[in-house]
This record gives sequence, structure tokens and C-alpha cells, in this order.
Amino acid sequence: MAGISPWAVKTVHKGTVSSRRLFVIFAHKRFLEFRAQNVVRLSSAPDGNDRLHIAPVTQNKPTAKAVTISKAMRAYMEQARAYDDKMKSEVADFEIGKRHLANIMGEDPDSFTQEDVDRAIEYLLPSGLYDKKARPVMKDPYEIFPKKKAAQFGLDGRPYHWMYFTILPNYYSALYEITWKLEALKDLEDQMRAENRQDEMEGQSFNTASSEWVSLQALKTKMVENIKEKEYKHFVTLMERLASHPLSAREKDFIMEWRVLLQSEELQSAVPEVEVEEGGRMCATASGTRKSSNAIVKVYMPGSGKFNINGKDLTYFSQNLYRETLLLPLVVSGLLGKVDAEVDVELGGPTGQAGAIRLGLSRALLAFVEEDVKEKMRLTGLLTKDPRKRERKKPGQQGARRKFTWKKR
Amino acid sequence: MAASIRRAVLKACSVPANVSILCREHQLTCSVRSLSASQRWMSRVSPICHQQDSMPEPTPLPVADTREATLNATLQHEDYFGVKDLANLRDLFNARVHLGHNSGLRHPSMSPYIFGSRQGCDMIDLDQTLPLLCQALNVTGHVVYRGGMLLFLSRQTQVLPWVERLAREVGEYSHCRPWRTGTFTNASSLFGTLPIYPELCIFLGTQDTVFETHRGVIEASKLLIPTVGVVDTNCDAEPITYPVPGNDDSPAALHFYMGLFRSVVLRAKARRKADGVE
Repeated sequence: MAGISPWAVKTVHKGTVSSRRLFVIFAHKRFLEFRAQNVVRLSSAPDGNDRLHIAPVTQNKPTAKAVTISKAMRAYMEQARAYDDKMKSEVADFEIGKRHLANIMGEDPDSFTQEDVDRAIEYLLPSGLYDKKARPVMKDPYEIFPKKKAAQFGLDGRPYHWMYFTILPNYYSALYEITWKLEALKDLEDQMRAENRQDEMEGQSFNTASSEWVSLQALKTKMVENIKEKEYKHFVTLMERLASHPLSAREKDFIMEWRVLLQSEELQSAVPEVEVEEGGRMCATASGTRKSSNAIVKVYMPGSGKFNINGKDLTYFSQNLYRETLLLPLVVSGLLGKVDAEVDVELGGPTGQAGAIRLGLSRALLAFVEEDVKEKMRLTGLLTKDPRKRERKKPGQQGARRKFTWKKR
Repeated sequence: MAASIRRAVLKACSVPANVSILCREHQLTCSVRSLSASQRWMSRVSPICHQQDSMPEPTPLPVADTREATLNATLQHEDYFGVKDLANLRDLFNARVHLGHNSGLRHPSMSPYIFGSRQGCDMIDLDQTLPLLCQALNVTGHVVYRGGMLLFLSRQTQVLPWVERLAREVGEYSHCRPWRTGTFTNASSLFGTLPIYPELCIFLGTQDTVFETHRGVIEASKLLIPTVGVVDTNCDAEPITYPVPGNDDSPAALHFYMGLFRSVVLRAKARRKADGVE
């Protein structure tokens, strides 16, 4: 016994095995609770082993038929009640404050909206702080105080979620779901290969072109859990594995739950209106810029491929590179030789002008092409504005970056 | 409720002789030692997965008028959930439960459970494993019967989804993911509520990596949460309350254990319903 804690128990199987220490922390609350409910006694058995006898002390107490509410649930309910009370008083304060504010501003307190509140706060408490979060605000308390999580377990103290103990049950059960979907696809693939049906697998893969995985922030919001960068990467890796399976199109709905469509909004607003001119010719107008050049492009459909750039044809640009730049949108959209274009371009040099016309032309062509072609044009980069501008010269330097020649001696 | 379950389990723990005697009397269909080499080879080729559906009717309990009395009566019953019908020595052998690790990796606490070493590889003594397995299953059944929470744990990536599916299907809990330190010992701050603990942790592998003991084993023993653990020859059996010496690496063995635990949990739940102790 020397050197062994009194709470060490010898194993009972065949009386041979070494002592099994119970990692007891004496001061631990749980242990004290256990001691309060049980009589613990150590004795020596004739075979030389120590035995730990544990017997409940509550035998004489009248036993309740069933414990109705677990301790954890009771604590949660108390917390929830405290939270509700606090929020109730906060909301009352907010309503009164709003009326005071309306009176200060000389407006009707009954029709004072949140926008009016924001305006009043900005007027009464002007702040020069850069970060908007640091400026004074007055908002509904439910937007300001963190939300109270709903109870994760029932009255009997059993958690609702089967992965409750992982701390991130929603995240890990999503991983679980992905794994089993992938397993199902693998089984299906094996089966199809065994039956020599490989040709049916053509084109059954999910197309990832027009969407991307949800961001870490979005995933956190969706799961309502504090997911870390590492866990997010793990999630994306697993999802990529599912999405790159040859039969992944079958799980398209599931995959799209975790993806966001790319840039569709900007595209919708950029489509120009189609006007019908005399003689039944359709035309659409759009503008484009690049560096310091501006271009207004008017596209006529149907046409024969004629260009009119400031009164000249394609020879407005002397170099082939610029002519090719112009023609790229037509090549990608497959409308080369089928439309005419009238271009008004100003300022800048040939690179800027050609780029400006390219952007304007691409935007104007959107009026005449199908959705999939639009997507193709977006992926080619025709609809993206090149934001680069001339960088200013710096004092003490020859140019934007170039330094003066410097000789030590 | 948790306290009463813990008490019942500890009670069962203090009278395990009952269970082990029962298992020793159990009719063994064959002995490992009598198998020829070719038979061993054949049995290695076909892994089995045990599925038990029908539960034998137990000998009737003495008449009890209160819920408490019924619960006590089940503890006196020698094998209330019929665990001795779930597995026999042949099943263990076919599921490759006897295969241990290289002798150099042996953990001192496992030496009593080792039958011998063959070609440098430790073989686990299935004669010892079987009663311990029966005992572990019996305890599991009793915990479930009293409405206790089970937590299935494993860090074996190969069988991870299966373990999780098992827990989900039998209506219990699983934690097969990276263990965040303090999940038990610092639960109140990690979960933001009063801590909730499972009544029994079932480790289908007690190691986190090949070098480290699962943190859950240590935290469970610190909090006196009873544990059932499959311990291979390289594992530390000491902190486990109900160690089951056996292979914890091959899928065949792991699926075998999972089948057993599934059966016993479902049996205990069915019996709980039938006896009206819910």
C-alpha cells in the first residue's frame, strides 16, 4: 500500500493484475458529491488484494419515482429566465429613449423609425472615429446583445443531438453526412464499373464553374458554431472530394446547399436595353473604360461585322494586337461578322482605348446572347473592369517607383 | 438520475465475480489452442459481422412492486440481457480479436492478457477476453436499461463513420472527432451550461494516435465516469474500468465489437420498454 493513494483499487479479475488508479481529485466537486451519496470503505481481502467497497447512503431516503427535471436543465431554465428579464427591461428602456430622441428632434414619437434614430444619433453625437463600429449607436437590444442559444438538451438531461459531446455537433454531423454520401457514390461507381456501364458515367460530374464554397463566416452563421480556420479547411477538402467524384451531379442539391453563386447580381444589372431602330434593326448601347480612356459602344444586330471607330474602321488601330483585343468579345460570343459596331472613344492611348472598347462591346453584346454564353464571357474575364490606373510620380523619385541615379562617390 | 445509475454500475462493479463465474461456465464451442494452422488461415480470410436480432427470454424476475425493486432484481439476475449468447470463442477468433501488436510495443499492463508471442507478434488470450467482454456488455446493458447515456469513442479513421452511425442508430452519443482538451474536465466553460456527462464511455480504441492514450480516457477517469475499452497489446489498460483485451485495429474486429454493442443496447432498450421502467 505504501506510496499508493488510498483510492487505488486492485483489479478483481483473477487477482493478478496491477493496481488501477482512479484519477481522483479530492477537492473536485463531483467527487465530493459522490462521497456525499456513497459510503466508501477500503479493506484487504484474504487473497492479498485491496477492495474498494462502495455503497449508497441514500437507501433510507424516500425515493422519488422519477426525477423530472435534470440539474443542468434547471440551471439552463434559470439562465434563460434571467436573460428574458434583462431583455425585457432593455427593450422598455429603448422604447422610452426612442421617444425622448423624437422629442429632441421635434418629430412625432409614434412614427419615429430606426432610420430616424440613426440619423438623429449621427446629428446629435457626431463622431470622427474611423471605425463605424466604434461610433455611437442606438439599436434594438436584440441586435446588440448576443443571442441566447436554445437549450441543447431535454428535461431529462439527455442532449438532443447525438454528437453533442463533440462541442461542434452541427459541423461534425455535416462531415458525417458528406462521408456517407461519398461512400454511397463510391458504391454506385463500383457497381456501374462491374456492370460495364462506364459510358453512362459521362457528364455525371458536378460543374463547379459558376459557384464557390461558402465562406468561413457564412459557415459559422449557418452552423451557429464557432468553427476555426482549420476545421473550415477540413470541411472544404471533404466537400471537394465529394464534388470531384465522377457521379457527383447526383448530389447536386446537397452540394449547392454549401455553395454560393458567383456574381450574378452585377451581371443582371449590367445588361443593356435593346432598342429597335427603323428598318427592324436591333441595337444596344454600353460604355466601357480602361486606364483614362472612355468608350461608348453601340452594337447593331443583325450586321456584317463592320466597325466604325471615331469615323474609321478597324484601321483606327495600327497594331494587330489592339485589333485582336477588340475582336475578342465577338469571338467568345460567336457573333463575329454578325453584328456591326459604332464606337465613340476618347482620351488615353491605344491600349486604354482598345481596352475601353472591349469592355463596352462586351457589355453591349450581353443584350444579344444566351445565359450560358454570358457565363462563358464572365469566365473569360471580358466583363471584369480592369481597375489599374496610372500611378502618380513621387517626390524625390524619378517616377512612380523609379529612383534617381545614385552613385556613392 | 445520473447518480443512481452510477451507483448501480458501481454496485455491479463490486460484484463482478457473479459475471465471471457465469462466463467460465459458458459452453465454449472450441479452444484456440486446438486449431490447426490451416484452420487459422481460413478463418482469417472471412471476417464476420455479428448481427443478432432475437433475444432469448430471461428467467423471470422475482415479483417486484416498485421501480426501484425491479431495477435491483435485474442486478441479481445472472445474465439479464443474454450477453453470453451474443459471442463465443470461435466468433472472437474469426473476427481476429486475438491478433496483437509486435512484442516490442507491448504495454506492461497488458502482459497478463497475452497468450504468447508468435513470430514476434503478441497473441491475446481469448479465454480471458471472452468473460471480460461479456462483463463489459452486461454493464453496458444495465446502464442503458436505467436510461443512462452511452458515449461511443474511437479515433480509428477507417471505421469512424461506422461507429458514428452505430451511435446514431441506437439513439446514443458518439465522439470520434478530435478531442478538445477539457471536454469533460472543463465542460461548463466549453459548453456554456452546467456540465452533462455520459454515464458510460465505450472506447472502441483507447489510443488517440499510435503513441498517445485518448484524452477522453484520462478525463473520464478523473471524473469517475466508468469506461469500457477495447485494449490492444500496446494500450494502457489501467485507467479503463472494464478493459476488453482485443485487437483494436482491424475492421473485422471493430465491426464485430460494434455488432455486439448494437445488439446489447437494443436489447436493453427493448427490455426497458417491456418492463416499464422508463
